[in-house]
Formats: sequence, structure tokens, C-alpha cells
Amino acid sequence: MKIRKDNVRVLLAKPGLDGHDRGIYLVAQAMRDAGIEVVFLGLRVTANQVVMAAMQEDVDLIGLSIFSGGHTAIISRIIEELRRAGLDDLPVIVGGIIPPDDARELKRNGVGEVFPPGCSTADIIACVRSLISVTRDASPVLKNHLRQHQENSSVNEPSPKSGNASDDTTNE
Amino acid sequence: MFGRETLKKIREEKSKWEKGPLKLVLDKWGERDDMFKTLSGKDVNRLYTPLDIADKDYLTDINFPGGYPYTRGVVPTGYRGKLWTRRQVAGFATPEETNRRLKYLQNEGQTGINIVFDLPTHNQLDSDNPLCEGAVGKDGVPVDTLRDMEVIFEDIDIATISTSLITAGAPIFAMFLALAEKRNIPLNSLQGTLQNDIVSLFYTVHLTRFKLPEMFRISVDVIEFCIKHIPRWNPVSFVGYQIREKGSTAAQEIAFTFGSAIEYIQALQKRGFSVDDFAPRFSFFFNAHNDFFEEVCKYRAARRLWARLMRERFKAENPLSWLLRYHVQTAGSSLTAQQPVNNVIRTTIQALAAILGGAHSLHTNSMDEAYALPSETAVRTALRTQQIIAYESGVTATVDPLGGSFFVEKLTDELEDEAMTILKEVERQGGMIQAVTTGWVQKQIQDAAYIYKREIEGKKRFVVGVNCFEVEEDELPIEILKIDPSLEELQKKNLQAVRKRRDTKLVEETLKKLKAAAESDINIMPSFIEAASAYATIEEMMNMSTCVRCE
Repeated sequence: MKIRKDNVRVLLAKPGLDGHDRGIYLVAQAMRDAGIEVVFLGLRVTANQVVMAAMQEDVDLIGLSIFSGGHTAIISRIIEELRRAGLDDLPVIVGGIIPPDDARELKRNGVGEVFPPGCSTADIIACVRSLISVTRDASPVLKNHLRQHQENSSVNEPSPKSGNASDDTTNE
Repeated sequence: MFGRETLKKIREEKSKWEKGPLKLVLDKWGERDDMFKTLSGKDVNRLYTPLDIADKDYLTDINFPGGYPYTRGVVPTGYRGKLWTRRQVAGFATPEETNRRLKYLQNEGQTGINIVFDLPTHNQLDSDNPLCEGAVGKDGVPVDTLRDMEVIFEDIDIATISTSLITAGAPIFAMFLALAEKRNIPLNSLQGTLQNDIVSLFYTVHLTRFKLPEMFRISVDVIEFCIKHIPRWNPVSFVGYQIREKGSTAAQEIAFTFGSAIEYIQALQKRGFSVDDFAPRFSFFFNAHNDFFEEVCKYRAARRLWARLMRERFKAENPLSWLLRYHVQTAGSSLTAQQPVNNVIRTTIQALAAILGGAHSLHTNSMDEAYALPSETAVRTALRTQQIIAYESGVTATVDPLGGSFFVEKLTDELEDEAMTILKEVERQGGMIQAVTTGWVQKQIQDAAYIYKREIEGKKRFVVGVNCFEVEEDELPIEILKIDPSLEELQKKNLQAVRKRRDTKLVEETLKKLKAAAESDINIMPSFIEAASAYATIEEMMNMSTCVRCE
């Protein structure tokens, strides 16, 4: 089933306790200028709030900004809750003060891309578009919804995942 | 500053120069760009001459260092008498680790202490609150109770070294004072600074767990307590730094910082204090960004504007009330993740601007801070940067060596004028608290940040390693500090052990007293100190002290 959406919708949120919001505001503004619809969830949001908003707002991608140093635990929890909600396909990108080793670990755990300080908003937007184009037929949220409805009437056919087992979470 | 005849002659000669050699060169080779601007977007002319500062009077506008309006500095001898305080921010992982880092820095020649707290502590939460998961000890030291303060300062003599506490939290300050009392150090001998500027921190780093009026009143209580009992302590340090980090211009940094200070002045006056009772102990905290001359002039302009505000508008009579004393930190937001060693050079230029602008104390960032809190090696290089400026560069030999430069004096004037214009607009918006509440201030800063970012992305501005002179880096050329995740568990365990060990009845009693103080008009600090002495936790204290007042 193909259901096309005309506009790209991104959920931006800032989990964790830190208040460094300069980056996420700049990204939000640049995305809007590029014609992307931004749902800005605000600061200090919990994993659950991110997942709920992603579903309710039917977004194509989640962007998280975090400068607290607590990224490993916080981002892993969000990824985990997204999986639990059946949103495995929903791409997640992360920006902030994140050392390369941690960035690699986040990507192994399912984060689409990690952006360090100083990266360009053009690069972020290009990344958003490329990550979304993979699942562009319908938003992951909608696809999940449709899949669940189909599952009710047909044999369950799990969709192939991109290499990472769901128990491959952090060692924190 | 120049005679009419001299100016006339200079004007004539300038016109000749423009039509002659300048035109020749411009016609043949042109210039690299049509417009030259400072980092904050101020136009910079090709050349400055006596004509640009012809309307200035040396004695009333610039004067000697130590003389009103202090354009050239507040100390007559500059750095010939005393060098600035080299005060590196420290605080990470656990109180134990932080104590070790502080001793290391002291051994390396640091002359003041500057403690940064982790996010749970900033937000007045206990380390074992579920909201704090993953954040304990990550970008500062966790402090839950007096026990942690004792560990941080173990074998460090707080009676002789000046200590800066980077927090708006009265509970943290109360723990520090409780520690002093426990060591039998009289409060009136303590020296140091508490950040305490909740008005600025509320909108820059979003210390928004409690309402601004509640936090503001506690913060004014702290100042009042210090005026009466800790006369050598700076009870507030107005935070321009975070305003700039959020993306403001240089003039906005001055104006919004002073806007906050004015709120405190008015609140203290309402409590019956005269401006000379407290202004001599006001201190400030500014940023040092990339544009060298703009930063030098920012400090000079801020010093002059503050002196004029205090003397002319607030009628302060004590000259100490006119003095702008400030700490500087180099701009964290200017550090790049790309080619991180380059950050040493950026920090050096920024630090030099801070010193040539007359800073009283300085923190220099470490090269690795676009990735994590600094490693020991990186923080030493940062400290060495200051020491090389202090002991090798020669810039400390004379006072305000850039004073008298036509450009520097002109840019100082322009920044002062612009800051004053913004400050007037803040007042039109109903003062800083009101302008923050409506979001007007935040909008101004966001716009400035967006323009700056657009200019970098459009290559109208260059950042080496980011939009020019890039290289492919597979491996980071520097080590990155890693904080062992198990330390969070350790901190939680230590907190729980304190909860078990302490006299629960005493804690409850002191918390009740704290609540009573919160609901009344009496100063809340003595109750905070009592609760801190009883090992009440930061979250217990804060929850007890807010939520009722100022509704």
C-alpha cells in the first residue's frame, strides 16, 4: 500500500537535563527554511514523551540534541522505547557534544547519524532527506499502524532489520 | 582630543590620501571584500584616524586607569601590581575525583578555585532521582549533601584561597558555609564568588524547574545575607558568558547582563539598602570570543557604561560601586570538533583579548571541550596558555596598551552606545525579568545566533577546519576524558549512606524551619545553612524552600 505524504515532518527534542538549546533552535529554523515541517517538543523531555509525540504527530524522523554527556544512557533508552512501540524504522539522528567512540556506539545501536558541534545545517538536512527517502512511501508511524492492522488479518511477516539485534543495547 | 587646526589639517590630508595612494591601490588591486565586519556584525572601516574620536575628551571619556569612568581599567597599576587570577573550572565524576583535580591544578600554579556542578545539582535534584539517569557527574561534580562538599574541599584551605561556585543554588552555597562553620572558619573571612544570577541563568541555561520570581527572591536573600555576614564574598556574578554562548552579539552581552544587574539593584533598594551597601561586591562574568578587537573594546565599553550607570543613574557615591570587576571565560561555542588542536590557538587569541581588555580573572578552555570535559593534559595546556601570556608575552608590562588606538577607542564608543540602546529597549519592555518572561530577549539572541550560523554556512565567515582548510580525520589526535559510568552508582550509594547515617529527626526539624522561613518574609539563608549542616539533601532543601512564596 502506498500512501504518499507531501511534506516531511521532523520531531525535534532535547532530552536530558542540560539547557544548551542554541543548536536545536538553529537546526529547527534551518529545517523550516528548507521547507521541512518541524514539531519542536522542547527541553528536558523524557523518552516516553518523545515516543508518544512521534506517534501522535506522525513524523518521518526524530532529531535529538544533547550536550549533557549523558547521551549513551538517554539515547539508548529512547531507541529501546521506539522499538517497543514498533517504530524500528523511524530514523533517529543526534547532535551535540558526543565523543567519537560514543558516536560509533550510538550508531551501532540504531542511530542514523551523529552530528558534532560545528557541522552545517545543510549537511543535517541532506542527511534527513536521505534517511527519509529510504522509507518514503509512508511515514514509519503510519506504516507501523498499517502493518499492525494487516497483522490482524494475515500471517505475521517480520520486516528485515538493518543488522542490529534488539538486545544489543548499552552496557550502562 | 585634538586641536581644531590639527583636525582640519588631518581632514585635508586624509582626503588627499584617499584620492592619491589609496585610489591608486584600490583601482589596481581592490580589496578582498566589499565589507569588513566584526563577529557581531559591526562595520569596520578601512582606517581609523584622530577624526574618528575627535569628539572625545581624554579626561571625561577615557581618563587614567583607576579613574572614572575606568575605560582603561579599575586598577591604576594594571597587571604590574597583581596578575589576574588564573581560575580554571573544575568539577566532574565524583567529589573525590574533583578534589584530586583541584589539588592537581593548585600544584600546577592555579591561584583560585572554580567549581562547576553537574546538571542534577544545577537543577537542584538528588543524584538518585530517576530524572538524573546518565547525567550524574557528567559535566560537573555532583553534590547531594554536605558530605560531598566536605570531600571536594578535603585538605584544601578555604580560609585562604578564594573559591568560586558556579551555581545559582542557595543550597550549594549553604553547604559551603556549613563546611566553613564546621571547620571553625568565621564567615566574615571567606572570600569567593557565587554565581547566583538566576535572571540570566533562567533563560540561557534554562534553570526553570522553579518559577523565576521564587528563585529570584531566594537569590536576593543570598545577597542580603552576604552583605550582612560575609562582606568579602561576591554574592552574585552577573552572567554575560552564557548569553554570548547562546549566540548574542557583543553589545547584547553587555546590555542583557546589565539588565539583570539592574533588576537586583532595584530589588535590593526595595529592601531598604542603598546602592553603596551592595554594589561594591557585585561581580560579572563575561565571554571572550573570536573577534579580538571587538572583545577588547567590549570590556572597555562595559567598564565605562557600568561606571556611568552606577554613578549617574543609581547615584552611587562610593567609587567602589562604580567599578566593573569581572571574570572571563574563553568562548566554549567557538571550539571546533574538527582539528581540535587548533582550539589552543583560538583560546590563546581569546585569552589575550581578555587580558588586554583588563580581566580580573580568567578561565581558558581546553582543546578537547567540543567532545567532553577536559582531560588532565588538555587542561594543563589551557592553564599554560594563561601563564605564557602572563610571564612571556610582555603585554602585562603597561596598563591598557591598546588604549589610544583610534580604532579601539572608536569601537569602544560604538559598543557602549549600542549596549545602551539595547538596555533602553529592555527597560521599554518592562525590565529584564519581564522581557525574559515574554521571550523578547530570547528572540533577540536567537536571531543573532541564526545570522551568525547562516554567515558561516554561506561562507561569508570562515571557521578554520569547519568551512575552510578541512581535513579528513579518522582518528582524533587527542585523548578524550572518559567518565566511568559506574561512578554514578557510587555517588547514589554514597548519598543513600548519608541518608541512613544522618539524624533524621534533625533533618526534618531543619526542613520544617526552612519551609517556615520560605513562607515568611525573613531571610531564608540561615535556615538553609542549618538544614545543610544536618545533611539535608539539595532536593529536600529546594523543594521545601519554593512553591509557596511569590504566588
